[in-house]
Amino acid sequence: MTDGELRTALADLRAGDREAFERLYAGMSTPVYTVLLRMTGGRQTAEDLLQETFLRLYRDPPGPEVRSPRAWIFKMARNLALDELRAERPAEPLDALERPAPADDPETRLDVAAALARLGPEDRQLVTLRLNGGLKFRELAQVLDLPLGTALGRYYAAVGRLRDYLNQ
Amino acid sequence: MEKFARTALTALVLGLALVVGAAAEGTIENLPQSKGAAVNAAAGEGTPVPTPTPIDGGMSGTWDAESWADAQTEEDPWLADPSYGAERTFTDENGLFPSGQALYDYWQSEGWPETVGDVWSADGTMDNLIVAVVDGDQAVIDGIRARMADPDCLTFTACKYSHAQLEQTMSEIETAVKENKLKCILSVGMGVRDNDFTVNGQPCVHVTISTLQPDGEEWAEKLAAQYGGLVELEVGDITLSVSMGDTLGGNNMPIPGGGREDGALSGLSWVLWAFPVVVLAGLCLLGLALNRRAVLRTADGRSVTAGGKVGRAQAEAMVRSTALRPDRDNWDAIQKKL
Repeated sequence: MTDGELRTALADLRAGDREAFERLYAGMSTPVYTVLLRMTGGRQTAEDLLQETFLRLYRDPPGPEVRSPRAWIFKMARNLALDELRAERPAEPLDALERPAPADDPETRLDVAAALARLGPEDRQLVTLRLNGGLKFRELAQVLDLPLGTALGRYYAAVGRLRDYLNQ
Repeated sequence: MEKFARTALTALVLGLALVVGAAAEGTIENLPQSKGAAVNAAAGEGTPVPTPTPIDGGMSGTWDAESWADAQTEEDPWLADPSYGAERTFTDENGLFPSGQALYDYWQSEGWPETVGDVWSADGTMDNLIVAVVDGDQAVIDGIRARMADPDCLTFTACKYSHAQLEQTMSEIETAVKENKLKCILSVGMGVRDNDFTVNGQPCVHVTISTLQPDGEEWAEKLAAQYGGLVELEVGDITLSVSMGDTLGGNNMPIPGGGREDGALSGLSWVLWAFPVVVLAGLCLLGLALNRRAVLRTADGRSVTAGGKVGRAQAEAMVRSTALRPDRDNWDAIQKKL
């Protein structure tokens, strides 16, 4: 879902168009769910948080004053995930991550899941928000409350480590 | 605000030094240090810095960890020959360096060992210097200590990159700025990550990038991808402000002597600070305009695709391609809750 499509759908949703919400879910549920899953490590937790994110989005969609609705959505999802993690519920095992996914190589998926699991929580957030959430670096910095340069530096360091893990 | 002003001033001073250095040397290799000023100001001023030995034969080809490692397999003459440099005035009659400053001056003059990252002052004086040794190699540390009349004046720490790597990186970025006529990169200089001038410090190349220029973010991203931990990026809505008169909180550089002007001296003080500021800014912009290059190489000192392994871009693509779609049940559950 492009930024333009996202803005349009949100504007339609604010105008009471329920079909716009379906468009939003169709366009954003996979990236949001992927980020939540990779943050929490638990399928059921991620699904609960996904539902909560979209319910909140439906009830209180960001207005036109929000510069980056994509960042807004991911910030909300991330905050929900952090609250959940703070509650210290035990994470599901790694293999819980493996479930039907878009057409990709299952072996690759396993490798990626294992490599991501080896990253620290913050690095994993950076990587998945950028690569699965599709956030620009400026948005990434905004979501994570980091200076842009710090976000950039940490992201590339994290991807470097991820690459190393994938090569091991 | 304070951080902004500090950044702007740093950028300005660096820009000036860059131009002065370029003019003096006919090149831009002898850059001032953006950090660790106590060490560098004391020992580096006016001292020519030898160009680091090219690792891969110059500017072409891949510049990665393997290349550096290969280059370092050759024995470092500084360590191999205890008398190397002994006849110079840097050492005493016993061939030992009488102080940390003498050692630093020697390296600045004769070239840095491949095994050393940088040297900085622990307390702002030249009496207690910290030497960052690549990978904390104990043999190197012992070798350096053996060359010192008073080894206790030095503290050693481990670092990842050698001084030559950092200088090479700095040089490449400068050339990128020059060749691409980049206005977004305000300064490039050697530094210590997070200004941490303790034993935890890590030498790096500090780059200040303004996102007020349209290509600022793009270049920040390129440099981060290309150089990884070699660089520390300071990115933001940074500008070289030279506006005058608003000294009470506007986005201006700090004015020596405080913001408010004082009666009869106000006219004179205005001239005193305004003229050098304008000259510095002009020289800085001129330096940036003259200072460009486009050759950028591998990130983080490593090869991206060496040996057919997964590279950085491939790793990113793998993460992207393994996005996970939620079950349809979730949509149904949301519908029920609405």
